[in-house]
Amino acid sequence: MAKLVDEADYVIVGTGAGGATAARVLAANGASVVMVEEGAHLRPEERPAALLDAMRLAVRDMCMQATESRVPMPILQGRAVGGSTAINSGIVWRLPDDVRADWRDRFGLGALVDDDALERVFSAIEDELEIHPTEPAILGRNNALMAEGAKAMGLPGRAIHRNTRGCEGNARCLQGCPAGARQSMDVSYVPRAIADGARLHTGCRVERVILKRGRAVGVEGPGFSIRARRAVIVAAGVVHTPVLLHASGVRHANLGRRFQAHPGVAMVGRFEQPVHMGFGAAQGYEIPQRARGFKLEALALPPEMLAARLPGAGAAWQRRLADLGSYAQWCGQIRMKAHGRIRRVFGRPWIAYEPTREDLEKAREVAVTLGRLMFAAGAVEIFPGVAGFDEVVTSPERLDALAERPVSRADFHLVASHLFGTTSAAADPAVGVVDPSLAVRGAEGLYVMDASVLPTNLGVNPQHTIMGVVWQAAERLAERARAAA
Amino acid sequence: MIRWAAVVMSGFVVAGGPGLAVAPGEIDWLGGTRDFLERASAKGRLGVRVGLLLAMSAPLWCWGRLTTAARLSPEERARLLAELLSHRVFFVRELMLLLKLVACMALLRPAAVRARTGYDRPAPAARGERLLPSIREVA
Repeated sequence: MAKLVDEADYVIVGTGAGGATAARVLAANGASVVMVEEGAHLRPEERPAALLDAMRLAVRDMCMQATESRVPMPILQGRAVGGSTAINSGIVWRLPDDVRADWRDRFGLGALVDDDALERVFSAIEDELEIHPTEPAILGRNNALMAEGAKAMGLPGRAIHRNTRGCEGNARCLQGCPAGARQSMDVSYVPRAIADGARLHTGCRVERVILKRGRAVGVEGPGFSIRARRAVIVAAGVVHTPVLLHASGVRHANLGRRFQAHPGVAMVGRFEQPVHMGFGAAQGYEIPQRARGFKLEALALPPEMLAARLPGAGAAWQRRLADLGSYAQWCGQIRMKAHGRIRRVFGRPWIAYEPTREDLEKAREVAVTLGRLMFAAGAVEIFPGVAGFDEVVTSPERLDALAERPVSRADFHLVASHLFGTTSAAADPAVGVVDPSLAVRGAEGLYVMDASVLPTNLGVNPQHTIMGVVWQAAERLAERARAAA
Repeated sequence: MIRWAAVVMSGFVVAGGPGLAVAPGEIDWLGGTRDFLERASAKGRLGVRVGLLLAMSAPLWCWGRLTTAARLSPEERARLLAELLSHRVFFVRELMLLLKLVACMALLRPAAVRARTGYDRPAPAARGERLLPSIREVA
């Protein structure tokens, strides 16, 4: 097979929230851009409903990527054009003010997260991706019940703001929207960049950024080599970006360090009225609990996962399966304090990450809160999913025992999908792998533009922040190129 | 080992039992497992194989009975799997959950079985009732 050879001003590795936004901005500014993506370009109509096929096509390692630990934690990432935006629920939150202040004061990123500049960028993205609250008509009972629980408990919930256009509420966000309604990068900024002249190569796993005399001049992998005239932009995600940089010869004391996440715990409850999780926005309602360090969200599961989540086997399980339309599932994303590390071991990522004692206590608090919320919404029984505790709880009073129970890591099914750090940005060269312009220190013409540059976790869904920060950095890159021309 | 899959996967449900009715031969447990093994990552394939080995030998190491899961009655097999799903060792629980997920993929593949679970919303017109309260009603 002939080797693929290409050349552009900018070569972008990865097409998730960061890579696609960089491509959209640079292409719109007249630069020639090539996007290189390891996964496939799945058209909406090619998105399978079956869980197994959906996971195989679009999720890295079929959801088997996990931390290396006595108690592994699954780390979910997309592996397709659009990256994780092609398998998430399209939830949009702006960068919280307290995080912005922290990044400005502790990491010297004031220019990158300048209030006025980000306001303009966020507004532009929100217009282009049609961000709006989930419509009542497609809320579905899984979300509506959470709203009822929030009202009963006096918690401040709201309809989730999502990037959708014509959502029909098929609850298939996680498998990939078959209607193309969610404005993930594969149906929004990647096509837009292509319309502005960018090229996309799929099925190309970049193994190395080529550095010549300290300058990035291209990328290569099995069967392809692509030359970059101006710069290489790595946007391979929080796990793979540091591994790729390390494989390319980049060295920094913090490369791969400062890994953070928002691991989540989930709870299922049975209601007397029908829920029919198969209809509605997969995630359409949320209860921010920022001061407490977590956010509660409704989360519809595909039927196979919901069925597996119901406790037991045999007759007791079959009785529950016969009533699969009566269950709701909600989860809590925790802003954990733990820091981890990604290393390259035998060419593959090695993810070391352990929640702290305080994080585990927070997971317990989330489980108790979710349980109380479910009962407040009218659940007749709940399945806490906490090992060693009751499989089935039928009264909110019983949750008091869970609240006081000592917890260990193995008690929880934690799953992480919001990832941060690993090539953190900072003005201090000793701290930041990249500088405030997102340029890799020690290499010319090499940038990182994905969630790995975010120096801390956020406590809210990160897609919008990634896009806003990258948009800013890509615009400045384009301005510098224009000034130099 | 693949033959063990039929024993273990089918063990999660008891034919003719209460609740979700599954007719004999309606579920292709072996085919479902094969599909998973063909598509899964190396880690996933390893997990299923180790899980099957643990489940088949569990009567011995879990109950001290010199037999395999294949020789248990359907009710005993289901009880064994339920115990493994809440086992005190994390890895045992996780591997059994993986097997249960693979079983669910096979179980819910036939459209008729999925329809019997009630997961999907019936067409509102057929129900003749309003299923969705507006956000204003509940917020």
